[in-house]
Amino acid sequence: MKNYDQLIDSALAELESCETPELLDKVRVKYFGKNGEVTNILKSLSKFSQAEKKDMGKKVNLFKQTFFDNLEKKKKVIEQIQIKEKLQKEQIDISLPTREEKKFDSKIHPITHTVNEIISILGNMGLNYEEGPDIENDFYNFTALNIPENHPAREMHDTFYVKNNSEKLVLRTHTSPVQIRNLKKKKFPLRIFAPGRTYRCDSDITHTPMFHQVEGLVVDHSVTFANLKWFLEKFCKTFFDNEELKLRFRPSYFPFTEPSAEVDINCSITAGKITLGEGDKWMEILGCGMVHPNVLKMSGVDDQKLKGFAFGMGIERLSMLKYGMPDLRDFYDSNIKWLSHYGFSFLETTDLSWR
Amino acid sequence: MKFTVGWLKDYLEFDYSVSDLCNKLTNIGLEVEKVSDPSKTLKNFKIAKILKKIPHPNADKLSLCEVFDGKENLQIVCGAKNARENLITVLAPVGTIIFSGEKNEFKIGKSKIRGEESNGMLCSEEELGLSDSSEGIIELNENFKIGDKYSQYISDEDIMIEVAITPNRVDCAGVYGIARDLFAADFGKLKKKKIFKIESKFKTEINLVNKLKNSDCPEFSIRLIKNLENKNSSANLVKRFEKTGLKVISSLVDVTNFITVDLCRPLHVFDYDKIKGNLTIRHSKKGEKFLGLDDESYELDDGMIVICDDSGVISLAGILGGKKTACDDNTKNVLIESAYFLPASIIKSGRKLNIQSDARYRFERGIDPDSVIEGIEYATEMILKTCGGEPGSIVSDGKKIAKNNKIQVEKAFFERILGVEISNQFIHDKLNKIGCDLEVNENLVVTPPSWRSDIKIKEDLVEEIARLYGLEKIPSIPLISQNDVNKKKISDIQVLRNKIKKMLVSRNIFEIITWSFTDEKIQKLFGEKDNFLSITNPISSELSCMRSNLLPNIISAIKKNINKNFNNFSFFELGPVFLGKEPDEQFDNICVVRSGKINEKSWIENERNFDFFDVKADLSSVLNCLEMDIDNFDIFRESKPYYHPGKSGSLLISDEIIGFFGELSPVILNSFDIKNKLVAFELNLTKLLKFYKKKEKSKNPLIASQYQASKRDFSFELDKNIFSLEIIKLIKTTNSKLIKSVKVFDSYEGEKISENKKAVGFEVTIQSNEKTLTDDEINEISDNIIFKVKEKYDAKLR
Repeated sequence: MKNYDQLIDSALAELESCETPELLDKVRVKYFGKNGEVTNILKSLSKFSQAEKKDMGKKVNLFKQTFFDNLEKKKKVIEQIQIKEKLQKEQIDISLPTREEKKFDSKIHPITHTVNEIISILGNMGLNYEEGPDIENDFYNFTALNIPENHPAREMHDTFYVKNNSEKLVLRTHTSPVQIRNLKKKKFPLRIFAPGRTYRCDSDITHTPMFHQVEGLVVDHSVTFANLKWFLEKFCKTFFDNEELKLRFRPSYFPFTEPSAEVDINCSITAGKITLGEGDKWMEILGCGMVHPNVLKMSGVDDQKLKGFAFGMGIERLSMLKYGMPDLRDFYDSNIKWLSHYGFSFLETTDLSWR
Repeated sequence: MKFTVGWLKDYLEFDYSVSDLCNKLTNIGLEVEKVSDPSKTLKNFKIAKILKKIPHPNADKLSLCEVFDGKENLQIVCGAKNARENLITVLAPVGTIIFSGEKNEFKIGKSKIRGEESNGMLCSEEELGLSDSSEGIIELNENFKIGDKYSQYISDEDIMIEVAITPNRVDCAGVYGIARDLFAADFGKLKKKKIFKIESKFKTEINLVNKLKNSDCPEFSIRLIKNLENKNSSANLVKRFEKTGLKVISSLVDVTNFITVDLCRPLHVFDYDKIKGNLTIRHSKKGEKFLGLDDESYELDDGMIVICDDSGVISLAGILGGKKTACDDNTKNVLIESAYFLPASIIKSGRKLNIQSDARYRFERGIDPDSVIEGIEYATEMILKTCGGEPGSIVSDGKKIAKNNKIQVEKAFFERILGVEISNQFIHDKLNKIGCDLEVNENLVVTPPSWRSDIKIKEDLVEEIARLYGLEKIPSIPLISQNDVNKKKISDIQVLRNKIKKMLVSRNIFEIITWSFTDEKIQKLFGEKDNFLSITNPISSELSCMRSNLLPNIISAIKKNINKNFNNFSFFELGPVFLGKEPDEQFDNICVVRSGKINEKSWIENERNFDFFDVKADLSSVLNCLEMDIDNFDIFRESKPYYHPGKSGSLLISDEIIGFFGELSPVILNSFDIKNKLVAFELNLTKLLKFYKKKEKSKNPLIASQYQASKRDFSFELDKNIFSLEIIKLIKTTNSKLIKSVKVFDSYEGEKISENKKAVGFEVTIQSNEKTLTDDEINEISDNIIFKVKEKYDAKLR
């Protein structure tokens, strides 16, 4: 079977020399196809003796195994080479610009962001989030808050009036009417806060006809000014994220609280930049006090049994102090550059589902 | 309220620094708004003398001065006309900062002015911040020693303090009141007020009728002073007026203005010779005319307090004097008026006529009713001193209103409100010092002084004690949380609103906040009739009514940005609209507007404008936030006239329209002068949220079939006006169990198809949860789909 040995050698050599899968297949057909050389040998085995048959069959099977092993190996090698060649050709200009990102990544308005922060802090401090309407009648906005018709404090509020035939309607000048709406429900202890839009007929560098306030009210059997101080200190330190922040309570006047105070926080001002929590300058941030007994009475609450504290602050001001916007009026100018600069990514702003 | 430290020292002896004084004022509730203390900024300025003056060789208006500053002779170029030899004046040496701390501050350097060396500057009062006068350089007398620092000569009269007076504290709208309050806070020693009682030289013969003595004007007094000369006020008074911003007019008028600020006792002076006949105090009648001292003519209303002579109204009581009877340089005989008017009446008249005056400010807040005679005597004393003359007797009609408001307060009450124990002794001492009378039994019975009409109830007493004790000394005590702490603090709706905002921002839409107001004219363009709410006193015509729709403001905001050359962006607002005056007619709406292109042309992507389907996707995302599916809503083709009629629709729930969406009509955009295509949706969130059902916390089991899904495509030719959504819904109903999804993969209208028709391709996914479906089973489902669609919509399979 000298021929046969030669045949094996040449078959394996041919396999090795192949460069494409198609050539590999040709070699396979040449030896193991229907009329392949090895196939033909197997066909002719019947002419041989039993012993020769056995010996030959063994040899052919062995060869077959080797052939197909080599074929597979060679196939993989060729594939590797081909993929490599293909990838080599797939070259791009990696210096080209990326797909145009949206020119401005859109943002949450800083008021929303600031309100969300306030909601989180006050909610965690045990106050309920309440809301009230923007159009109020005279009673809720003034009278029930101990601001009678001829009170000089009404002049402090430049009130917008809504054209109406029956009762006197105003755009609420503060969020305090929400106090009244909740006191009237007479569920005590009462602990609420109410952020929202407020309106005053005033427009200059430091005033816009619409702005935002947040109101806080706690009414219970034993609430004191000392509690109010603790509460606001905790709120301010949390909001401004500054344990060093100092608060100054300064006697003041609001018709709906007695005693009343305004609260300043300390800061330093260098080259127009305000740094909170250091220095000996004071920046006014809110008004507060113990709920005036007339306010409780007018809502039908027993002012002998129940005491409370209330506070109110301007949200724009808190936002400007924390985030450094220089001009109040920009909040409502819808300037895309300003929104982009001072707004907040939706990933940054507080999620309220913690409650 | 402005005063100088020197003025305060008329009534209060103290040795503290200005900054101590300011801190104290603020701490007791008299917030210091401004301090002007020249001694701080004037440290470098020196007293100097001009030895020689020669003309500047190169400039006509300038001169060269040789100035001695106590040490050496300096050459200084000076432009002042009053510069002359031997004049003692103020020198700003090289290195001095002028207008320190102001915007226009500058530093004096060694310089050459028109070729001549100048080593410093000779100063005017303005440059020292002493007054607004820049007329020439300061002229000083021999009492100023050459070489001294000028700040050594700053007196208490140069230091001005301005405090904010809260509406309840009119007692501090007088320098004496401020001194009294500081004294109560243990800051210095209060000097006794001088009480004058001038002996009259004759009887004031005037017929005075106060018709309002039982109502608006309980007390009215006058005194005539004859044969005086209305000279200039003293230099001291003039300086105080300049420092505190009061206008110097003439001695007689200055006296009344001085006492107004000194004692918080407004007065008025009439030129007696200009008064015709009798004086009557009465209510005005509608239509009466009055010419004020301010040269304005006022038309009066019913019920204002007026002082009249036989010729008519000569003074608007407590608010403004009249021109007709005003004192002038020739006044020889003066009638001083001192009265008490009820605050409510003054507020009403003052507001109605919109007159701001120092007198009104004080009367309407309630001055000391006990000060009528004191005021007239004080004014007499001052007038006699500067103007001479003979005083007549005081004529009064009406009398002091006796006020005996007693307040009972339990001793424990102070601690109950403040949360800190304060000694009885402290409380008694302070209440005494602010002028209260005390009776001490088991309770405290307090009678506040006549000048503190703001102290009415026991809480007012607590405030007095709190501010004099010092709010800073009250401890911070934690608020004890009680039963409801674990309760939810925020409603689902409040959380959802925030979630929607965040979701819209994540879709690259900027959140904006716009006014709740809008322009009436623009609102009307949006099809609103006159049923919206107008503002009686709008700040401008652009903000003249309450918005009933968010679109106008957002479109205006977009226009502003287009003007700045930004074209491709999106805005949304989530905020209130007002459909009526009742609280339940205020709704939260959401409005999204997208402008321009979503993609700009680039090497990698095609340019594409925002279109209907972008904004429909936004709307759909909002609904998804609320666990709702847009395909479960009814959608109508009819929307609002400001939308493109063919590319818009309305969204309904339970037969109620809750939103509109689509492309905005070019007609409305033209009125904003916008060329870009805008797409928008509006949604009434408040209405929609009524249908919100909160998902249960626990989720349904996950069903994911492991058997093969098959896809089949169908293309139908349909009438143009049939919604593809209807076909989708129909296909789903043919076998709701096995049909997992139906998608539109193609929609064609055009030449290859007849005019009223369109071809829509649907890809249907069929899958069983139980087995692999056979071809026969799938074919049966397909045949059924074709049959049902053909039957119901007269469709043709293509």
